[in-house]
Amino acid sequence: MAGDSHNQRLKPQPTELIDRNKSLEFQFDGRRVNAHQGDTVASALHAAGVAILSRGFKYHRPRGFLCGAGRCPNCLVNVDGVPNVRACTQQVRQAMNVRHQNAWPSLNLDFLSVLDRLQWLMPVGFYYKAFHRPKFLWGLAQRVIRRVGGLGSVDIDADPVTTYRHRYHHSDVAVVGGGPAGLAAALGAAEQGVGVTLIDDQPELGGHLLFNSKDFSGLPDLVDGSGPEVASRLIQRVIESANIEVIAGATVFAQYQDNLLTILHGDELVKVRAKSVVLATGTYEVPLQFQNNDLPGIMLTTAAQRLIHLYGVKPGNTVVVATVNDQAYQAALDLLNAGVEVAAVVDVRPTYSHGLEAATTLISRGVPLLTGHAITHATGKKRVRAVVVASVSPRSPDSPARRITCDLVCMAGGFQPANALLQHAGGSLDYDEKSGEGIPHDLPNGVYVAGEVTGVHDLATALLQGRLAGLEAARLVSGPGSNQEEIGRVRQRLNGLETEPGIIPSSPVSAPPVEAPTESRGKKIFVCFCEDVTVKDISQAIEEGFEDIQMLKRYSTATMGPCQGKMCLKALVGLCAQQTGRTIGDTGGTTARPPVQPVPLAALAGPSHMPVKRTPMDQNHRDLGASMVDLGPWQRAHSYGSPQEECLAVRQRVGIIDVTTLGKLEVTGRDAGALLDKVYTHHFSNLRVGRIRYGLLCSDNGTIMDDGTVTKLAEDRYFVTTTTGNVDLIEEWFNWWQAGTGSCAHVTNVTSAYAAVNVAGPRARDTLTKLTDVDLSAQSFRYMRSAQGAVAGVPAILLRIGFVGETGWEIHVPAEYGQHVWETIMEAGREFGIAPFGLEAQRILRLEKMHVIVGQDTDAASNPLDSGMDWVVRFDKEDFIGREGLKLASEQGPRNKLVGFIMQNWHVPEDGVPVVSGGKPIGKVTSARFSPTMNKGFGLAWVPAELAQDGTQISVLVNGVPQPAQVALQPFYDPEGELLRQ
Amino acid sequence: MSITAQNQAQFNPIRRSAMHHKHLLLGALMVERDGWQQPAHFGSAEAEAKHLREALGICDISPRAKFVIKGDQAEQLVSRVFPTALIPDVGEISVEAHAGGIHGANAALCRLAQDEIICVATTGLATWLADGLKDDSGQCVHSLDISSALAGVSIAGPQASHLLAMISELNTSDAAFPNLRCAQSKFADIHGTLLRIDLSNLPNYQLYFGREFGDYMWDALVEAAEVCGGAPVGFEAMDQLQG
Repeated sequence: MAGDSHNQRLKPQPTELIDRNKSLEFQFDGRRVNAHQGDTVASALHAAGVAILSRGFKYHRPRGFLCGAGRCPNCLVNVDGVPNVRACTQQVRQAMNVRHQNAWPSLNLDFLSVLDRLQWLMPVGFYYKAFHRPKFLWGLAQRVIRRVGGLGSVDIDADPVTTYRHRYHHSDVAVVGGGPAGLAAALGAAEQGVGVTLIDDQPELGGHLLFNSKDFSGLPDLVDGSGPEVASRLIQRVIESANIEVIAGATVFAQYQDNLLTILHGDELVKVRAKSVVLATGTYEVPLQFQNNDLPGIMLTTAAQRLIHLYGVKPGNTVVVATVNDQAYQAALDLLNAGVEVAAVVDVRPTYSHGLEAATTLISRGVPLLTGHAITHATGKKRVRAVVVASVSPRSPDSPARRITCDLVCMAGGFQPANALLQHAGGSLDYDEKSGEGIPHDLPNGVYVAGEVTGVHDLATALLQGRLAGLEAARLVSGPGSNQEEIGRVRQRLNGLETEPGIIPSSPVSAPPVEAPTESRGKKIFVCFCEDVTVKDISQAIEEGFEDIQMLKRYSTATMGPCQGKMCLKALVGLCAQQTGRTIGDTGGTTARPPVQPVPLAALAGPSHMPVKRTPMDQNHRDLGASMVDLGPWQRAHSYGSPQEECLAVRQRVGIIDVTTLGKLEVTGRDAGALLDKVYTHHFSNLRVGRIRYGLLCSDNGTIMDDGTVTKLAEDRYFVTTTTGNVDLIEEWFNWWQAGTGSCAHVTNVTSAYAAVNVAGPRARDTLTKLTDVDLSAQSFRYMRSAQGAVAGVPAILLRIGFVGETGWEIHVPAEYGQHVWETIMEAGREFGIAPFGLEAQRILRLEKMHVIVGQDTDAASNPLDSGMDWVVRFDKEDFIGREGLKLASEQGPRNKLVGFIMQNWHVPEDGVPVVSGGKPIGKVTSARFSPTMNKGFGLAWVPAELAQDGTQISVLVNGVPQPAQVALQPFYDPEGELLRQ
Repeated sequence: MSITAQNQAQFNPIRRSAMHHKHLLLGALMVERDGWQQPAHFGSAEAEAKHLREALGICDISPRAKFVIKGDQAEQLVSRVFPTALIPDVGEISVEAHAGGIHGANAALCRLAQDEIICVATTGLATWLADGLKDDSGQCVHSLDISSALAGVSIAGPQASHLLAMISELNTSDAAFPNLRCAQSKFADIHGTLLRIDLSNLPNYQLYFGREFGDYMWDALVEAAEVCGGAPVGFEAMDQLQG
């Protein structure tokens, strides 16, 4: 292709975006292709004579350049490993590697194009009807369908080629759309002194004006000159404005509540929050429906104009222009001026607008204008070769169908307003019967519209609308009184615009799609290019009963592909209306949902970091070789090599574990005790200073929410611990029950303020005595007591409690001292054989003491009476949360109970396995481990209340086989708790 | 041997911020200052000062003293400790220079809600504040030293609000968030409190967040700072700014 003879490059065009002084080269399916800086992949390929860019989704028909604006599916390619890139908007980079998708072995010869001959096998909705009998057939068929269908593929082993950043942006006014209406809106708002962000999806502002060579002279104060000249003046003013920030080449893919716009801009996802939004998003030109309307060489008129004016590429050699409006006549003139032979302009309307200058010029240059005619079908295999044109109404012997040879067809099928964002924002649409376009009405507060998206197609109106929208958007920001006079003036002029001398009257708008010729019965007349849905498919679906537009969409899948209806919604609605005998308005449209344009999931995910909590001693654990695990949002040490060895260290010598993750709340104030009495099942207001009590929190119905300890540090100061994962919930719970009572109790989450360790084992006292001035003797510092003093030179709260069943202390110090205290205790305990122990060892040790872990051994239905914690419930209290529920549970008696069990053989069950009887589950193991102390498997389980007796035999399922176990109601280790109290 | 209060000092306790390990990995020169290990610089204090003036610097300010005062009488308690201070309105900050009678020591009073004020101060004021904010009046007011609970990072320089725009939806432009304002919001998906206290006319935002997120937040800030042309800076560069 490099230096080939198919070069379709024109001489330099005044408005082209390419820089002919900078040459680039890229690969397309292994062949070198020349390009200029500013070319898109598609424009460069077209210049090199490449007609086929892709193959259709279902029938693998060849597809070529269609819209040129990044809306249709025809040019999806793989670029440098990234699938589904639109070649018509992807700028060429040096040495890019571009490959086709969805064709094998090549674009020119795709073996799967045989499916095009098997359309009869795959009617609309065939996968609901075919290949389901016998049943097994669907499994096979599904695999084949998945393999041959689809667009693009992802290499899951490849490194991501793009990492996306996120950014937030705030603006007084956001204007979406950089065409004439959007430019006018931005300028109108900026003049009022408000900050404006102007967003456009093309690399250059100007919209359709950039490739519209029509002379817009009429009202010199509004429009004067050609499209590019008008655009240039507006853009210059935007650049010079200090109040306008432009984000070009950015797609607004959604609008959310309170004017939150989400924008994909290269490798950045920008979330814009604006006080008011102007939607000047324009329209999409749409294709016409005729047989083989999807052949390469058949494109939209605006696509041809883009090729000529923006990229200096000749779209073809001989063209037939088919249209339903006046705009195509200018396109035909552009083609003629670019050296393309215009074989005919085929207009479905009986006549074009009176005085249409372009038509007059075309006639004077010998171009046949066939009004009242339409293309019935196109012929060709890998590119269009000819079209057949016939009179639309009525057919007569005087107007026979005629064949016109061509290699290019330009379609002007009308316009589909780009109103998806308006729908996202909550705006509604009225459908205009004549044009088939949805016209906005009932706009949400703070949202304004202007330009072609409102259904207008003349420049002067669009500019005035834009200005008005900008002024009104600015007024919402500045206040009701501002710029009222100017708004009135613009509104008045807009209302009377059509009567002004010199104004170009609005051109007749587009007509609904042509009814399918009966011979073809709608075959190969494509409505949805993305999903290969034909007119025949739509007709058949309606015949089958899918008359509602929403159901028709879902059943046929029309509008559900990459274009999301931009190319096909208008035709779908028109056909549905025609064939069900309803108006366009009654038929309605489909629902536009985010995103408007495909967005990579990586862009939504953004930078790849997850909030992770680490304790102050985190690095110490890693340095000791701990295996770290996620416990909710925390990183914790699971073990330091051998949980069994760690257990033995605690039982025989001394161990230390980082328990910083425990939730910690300070509850202070003169009514702090009363608050705790209300939320816990036990008494706390009567706790003496320096004492600790175990606490259980229940919800209103008496089920267990959380547990922990409560330490009274001073008369009006309590130190509360909760489970690691529940501290935020419990803080909220406490505040909820305190709010509005007028009581004086303050709850502060101090979880991160303290680093905490638990030092436990027969030599724990010996270790800590070296480090503290607090008297740790059994007589002075008894079990369930607290003290405050220095440990390792650091002020500390010491709690004598024992989750693991050994003599031990939980030591809380200011977090910044965490590392120091850990290292000092480890050093002090070295002579006693201190060892760090992790989560797994802790679980084994506490299980030997039958200490319950809320959420592990209990669930949302568990109450303290069933769980063996009835001793914590004080019915003699005046009231507490859950009291009534617990009273009822107490009266009813438990159906199931939480008990300990010990295996009778060498098996060790897993957490969660059932307890069985007669082959049926009757309970569940909540926690189970192997005990190095007892040398047996053991754990906790829920069993029916009648089995909850010491020594009862039960069966536990291990690897699918029931294994014998024995119920135990007393802790397996130190059942009397003597070691705890030593 | 019994350990007495006097010889507790032998343990030489060292205070480290949640980002201590991250500073070591970045090659910071760690020195002891106000009882904390702090990064003096990450290679060159002069280069870091230049970053601050021209683009952006992020500095670990976790050692600063932080107290929360809650309750209906919060304003009155703060006024007792700072009798000449202007108590700010909600969302505003007032700064007391030479607080506690110590030259160079400052305290920022930040009103987060009608009944909640946080005081962020020079590290050395912690004890003075703890004593001053004790209330025995029986009124419903509560003060708590949360210095250990919160890590802090100063984000300073002309590009500071650009960095914040990458991690938070809060509008930190000059118009919406001028000097001496405070707010709570999400920053890099976690809850934080933001104070703006400019230094020598340079925008300076102090971000405080749960200490347990220190590693995570530092990584997020360093990544965002790089995009904005910024870098971590030590206290020497920040001191130059404060003159």
